[in-house]
Amino acid sequence: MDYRGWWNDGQSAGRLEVRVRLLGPRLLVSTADNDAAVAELSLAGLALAEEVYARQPVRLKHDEWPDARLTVADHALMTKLIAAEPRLGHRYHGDRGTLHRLAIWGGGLLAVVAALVGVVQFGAEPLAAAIPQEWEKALGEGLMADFIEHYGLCDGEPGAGHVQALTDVLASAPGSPHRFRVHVLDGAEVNAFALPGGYVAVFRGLLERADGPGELAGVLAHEVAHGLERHPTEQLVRRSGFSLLTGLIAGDASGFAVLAGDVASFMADMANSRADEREADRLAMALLNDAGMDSRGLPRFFEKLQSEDGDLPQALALVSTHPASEARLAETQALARAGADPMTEEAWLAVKRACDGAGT
Amino acid sequence: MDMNESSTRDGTGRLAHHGRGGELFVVFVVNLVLRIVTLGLYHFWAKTRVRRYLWTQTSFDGERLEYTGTGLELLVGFVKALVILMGGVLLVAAALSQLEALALPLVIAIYFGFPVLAGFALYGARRYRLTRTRLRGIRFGLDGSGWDHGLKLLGYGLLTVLTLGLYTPYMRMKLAGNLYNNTRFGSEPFTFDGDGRDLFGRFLLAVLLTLPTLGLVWVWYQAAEFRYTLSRLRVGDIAFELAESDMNLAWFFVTNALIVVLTLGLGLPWVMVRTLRHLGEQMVISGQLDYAAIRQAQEESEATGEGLAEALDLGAF
Repeated sequence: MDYRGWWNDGQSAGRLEVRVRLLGPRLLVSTADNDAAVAELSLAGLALAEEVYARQPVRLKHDEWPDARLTVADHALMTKLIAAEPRLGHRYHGDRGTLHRLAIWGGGLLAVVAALVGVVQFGAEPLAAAIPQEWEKALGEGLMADFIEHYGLCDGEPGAGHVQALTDVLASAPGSPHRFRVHVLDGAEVNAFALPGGYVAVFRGLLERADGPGELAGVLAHEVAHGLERHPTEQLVRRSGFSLLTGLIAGDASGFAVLAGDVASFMADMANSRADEREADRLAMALLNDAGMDSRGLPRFFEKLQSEDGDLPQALALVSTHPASEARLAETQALARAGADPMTEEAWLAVKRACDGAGT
Repeated sequence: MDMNESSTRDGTGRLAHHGRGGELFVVFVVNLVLRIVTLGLYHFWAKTRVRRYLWTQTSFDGERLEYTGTGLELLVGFVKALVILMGGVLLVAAALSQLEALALPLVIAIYFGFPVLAGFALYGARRYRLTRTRLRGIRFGLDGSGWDHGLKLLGYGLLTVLTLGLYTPYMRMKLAGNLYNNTRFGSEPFTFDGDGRDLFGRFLLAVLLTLPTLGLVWVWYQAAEFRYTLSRLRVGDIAFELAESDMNLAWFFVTNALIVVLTLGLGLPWVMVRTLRHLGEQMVISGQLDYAAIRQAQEESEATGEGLAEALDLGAF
């Protein structure tokens, strides 16, 4: 069977209309008008010049004729060529539709992204555990310095010292990875947080809102529990992993990839933080009970925040970073026990005055 | 299937694009998967793959273009460019640490050196792409020197600064002239006789309308400059003209930008394909080439210029 095509000899831009025949392991190229031989191309040296899709002429090149090209429009030739030399099918996509290819590669894309998300999600915990404590310490110290610079520090003594002493008691559990350092920040937010390396911060707003040292002890125990479980480091590792992943996917700065990455990262954050909060609640109750302290302060504080939610905007800060729920309240209530006061009434009054000298 | 994909003889349709956005989109997806799996290294092969698609789906006088560049060439070019740039930076740092007094002359040298380097890189990138582009098996080529182009960029750039920007259209036409007059299809040279004078009126108008149109007038100017540049270009006897008006072309550019923005970048393959298709439909081409008389010439160049353009983020396509 003859195929019609064009022969470009690579010497001049003129082209020759040719007849192409597949004969054994070679293609015979001859002139279309009088069948004079033009070239004999072994299949072994034959290659497609580029990927071939449907409706696109097939352009072939050959080892022995580096500048020459043979172009044939009829894809029936390709079917025969691939049967004789399967290697030639590698760049041939003329037999598969766009949707077919999209399904294959789109599925591949989803699988690869899902696998990488899994690596980041589940690899964060072991990776965080492998980070040397000195690094965590340096990281937390640097971050805390930024917070102190932004909010100002409440270091009024002896109040600040009492907060640290209470933290030391709570964090004295055996196997603690860090010595915990607590700072009171001069901000109105009713909030507290933990950073990598055992750094904990409590806002002035929380000290003002707390009724008695029991509630402060509950919140501190919760943050110390985060630190003991290395949640802040895990979260940091996970976030860096997700942003690396987004950068990799959005290599050519496609807005869609960046948006999708951010949404995925946010959703993972929310899911992780819910699990982390429950874990920290349980451990906090254990820390309080082991220290022989009255552990009813934490659930009482939750309860207060929930009931005040509507009319107290500052309270929202703690709720948004510490998603409260009926379940958390019920769980902490179930674990709560009576016990000793975390500090004397005199010490508590000093804590309340820790910020008196700040911000002036 | 019709081998002569250009069927009309009135001058339109001689340049035609046959690509489909969906096909190119799949190429983008393939590239994305491989880029993720290779931690980004596939970038150079991805670029090559997209070019190969766009080139081969574009035909002139019934024969499709061919792109013969490879990802490895681009990677090697990029690494070379990085080594050269890092070497330059280290050299400057070493010189500074030896002699503080060198600081001022060095800063001046860098200010003057950057346009030269940028011109060199752009010229090299253009040369790389042209020597990797074939039509009817014959390579395109770019003669002349990249350093010469860089010095011209510096010189015309200084004139532009001294004239408070008024020299801009002249500079752009002179630089375009330097590129096109050195471009060849095999042994057939391109010629270009565009002159900034012809664009100066429209340039002034665009300057005056910048504030009232919030800068949108520059899309119109860009379209006008593109149409003008094309109309002053010759390849042998062949001349080009865009049938549509400046305003129409400007609107087409705007719709492209809108598609990309509204689809958050997902529409980019369709925009690429529709742009080439649109240009083919609008382009009126007159004159014939004596193909048989056009010979193969000039060896392929290396990709350092393209690598440099990429390292300097000069936005080469």
